[in-house]
Amino acid sequence: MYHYDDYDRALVRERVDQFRDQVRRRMAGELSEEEFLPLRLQNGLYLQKHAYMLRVAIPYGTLSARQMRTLARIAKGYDRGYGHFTTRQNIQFNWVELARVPDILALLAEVDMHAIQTSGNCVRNITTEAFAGVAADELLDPRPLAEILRQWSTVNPEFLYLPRKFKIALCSAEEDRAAVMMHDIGLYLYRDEAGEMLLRVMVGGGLGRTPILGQQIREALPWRHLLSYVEAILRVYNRHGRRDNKYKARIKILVRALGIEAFAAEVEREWQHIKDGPAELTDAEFARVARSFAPPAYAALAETDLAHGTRLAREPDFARWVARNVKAHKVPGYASVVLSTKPGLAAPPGDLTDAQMEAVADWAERFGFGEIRIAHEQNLVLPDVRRQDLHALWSEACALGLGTPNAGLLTDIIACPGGDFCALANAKSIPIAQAIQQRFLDLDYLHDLGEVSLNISGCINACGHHHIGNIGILGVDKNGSEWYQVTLGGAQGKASALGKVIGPSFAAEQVPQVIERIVDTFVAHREGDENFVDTFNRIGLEPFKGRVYSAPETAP
Amino acid sequence: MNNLIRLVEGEVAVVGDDPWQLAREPAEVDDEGPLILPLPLWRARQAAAVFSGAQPSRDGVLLQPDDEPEALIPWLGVLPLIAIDFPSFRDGRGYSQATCCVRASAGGASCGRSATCCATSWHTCASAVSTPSPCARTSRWRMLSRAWRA
Repeated sequence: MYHYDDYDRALVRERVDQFRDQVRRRMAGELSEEEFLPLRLQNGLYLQKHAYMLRVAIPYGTLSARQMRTLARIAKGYDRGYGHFTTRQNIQFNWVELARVPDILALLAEVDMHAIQTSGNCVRNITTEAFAGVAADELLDPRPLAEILRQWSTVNPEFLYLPRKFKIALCSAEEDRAAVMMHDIGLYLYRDEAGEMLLRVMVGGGLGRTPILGQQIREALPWRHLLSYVEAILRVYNRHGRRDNKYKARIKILVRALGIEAFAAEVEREWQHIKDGPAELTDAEFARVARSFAPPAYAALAETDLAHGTRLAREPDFARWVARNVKAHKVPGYASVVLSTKPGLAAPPGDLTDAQMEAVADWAERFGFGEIRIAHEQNLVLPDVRRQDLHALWSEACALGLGTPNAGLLTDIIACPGGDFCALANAKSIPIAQAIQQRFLDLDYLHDLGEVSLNISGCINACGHHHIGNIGILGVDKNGSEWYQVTLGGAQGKASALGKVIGPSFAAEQVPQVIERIVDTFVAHREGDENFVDTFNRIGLEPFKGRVYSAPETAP
Repeated sequence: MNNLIRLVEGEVAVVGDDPWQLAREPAEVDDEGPLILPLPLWRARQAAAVFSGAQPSRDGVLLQPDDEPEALIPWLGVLPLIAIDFPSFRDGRGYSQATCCVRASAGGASCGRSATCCATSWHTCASAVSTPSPCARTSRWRMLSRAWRA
């Protein structure tokens, strides 16, 4: 993991002091709410429906056990005993008091964490995939470049007041688990035949009210030019992006208005000025940062473990969990484990109690090298677990509600906090997620269905990424009541696609039955072990539509 | 200009000896001190010798958010000052304009002397004088922490 140097530390501490003074002035009435608003947003503090919400940055979703314990301490002492992990690999505390926020930030600073640039029209948390550095299908470790981007974009003075928020994701594996095509800039890192690290650059992706997949702006960009090229894109956007209408201010609108060729030409013109300047990365700088991500001291283990094999054969519950939640590791004898935060009724997707956070920190140390990852599906990942320890970990995870064997299945629902918390939401998300999870309690059936992603957003801002769920659910407002629009066929990864609207929206109580009918349609048309999205792509929307709207009791 | 912050021997200082007068409208133009003028007003007041590059201008120019900084390139050699306007501090176009101006004035050896950049609000100083890059990271971060204290 990357550890702060003196500059990082000094900067974060001074920021805490500065915000402490701003909060004091707000509470003394020296600052109006209007004046305070941009100041608090720059420190990740939102005013939600019932309370302030603090969003804390987790750079590319990587946490140490020590940092996780601090999050647990904050959840316990400053919130209501839990925190919510988000689709951008961050954590949100939903019930913080304004007067205590500076103390929370001071606690975070002690473990090299902060809430800077988790809000506002700036470059947000740099994300990558949860299995970076360990995935068996990884081409290159994306973390050194992600960290370089983090350092470059953090309080970079030129880009703190962009037209709108700006999200960058980086990935480098056979499978794209970082959803790079739905980011303002998506970077795909690979090597050419000569061994040179190159970048494929995508631009203009994003969800929200105008969902658009990113388009390729450049192929085979040498890695040394990462910062200068990103800088050129940001400068063109900062100067020319729309500022008159916040709904048309994202870079995707500029790219679409100009067309990708014209936009690329603008970027190229800007880049020619700076490409060989001080932003060009050096081998020494890359090596300095990459040292932080050197592999831990893995033991030499056999790929197969007899005791593990025996347990798999004897304990079907364990075997089911291994089949879904244990992922291949590049080092023999090791595996990565997905701890599901989607147990159903017991907790909303992404939520962890302070006791669970403490336990995860302990497991990371006992069963791994003290590291934890946050996946954009809102689950937690322990990246380095010995195969022989899987059973012990599974037993403890089950006892604490983190052993649900549903990674990638229908009940592994991505959901935003929705109308229960969020001031922007049109409708609630969490009760819908839980009602669907209740409908699909039969684990055998669930596993037979195979991989189906179901994503729920409480409003058009699409924090729950509903557009790229195989099944997407969007909360909409109809004359003051909550309705839900369903989309089908969305997908993330290299075959990214935006879902298509199935038809008129549904009342909350109809949603579980609608999902059941969609699943029934899939089962009826499925060929062999086909995944949901493949069946959908083969048969199209009509059979689903027919089934869902056929019976009078579900017609809206 | 009020609240002008300048680097004095490497340290941020509020300078009280600033002679520049900002005139946004023709009515605000008086012939007393050196003026900072929006581009159309600036053009209207210059002698032919300024346009030809033979004579330095007395007036600085105010670059506004919709202006193209490239428009100033022909006159970088004769402009004593470029000010960047921030009508709203949440509109960050001025930071990129500043970068373009600094680059143009530093890169154009033929321009003679390079123009000075300043800004109409304090928090732009950090942008106008720093180069955000990993190599310049140390100086950039020092600059910022000073700007925050200010």
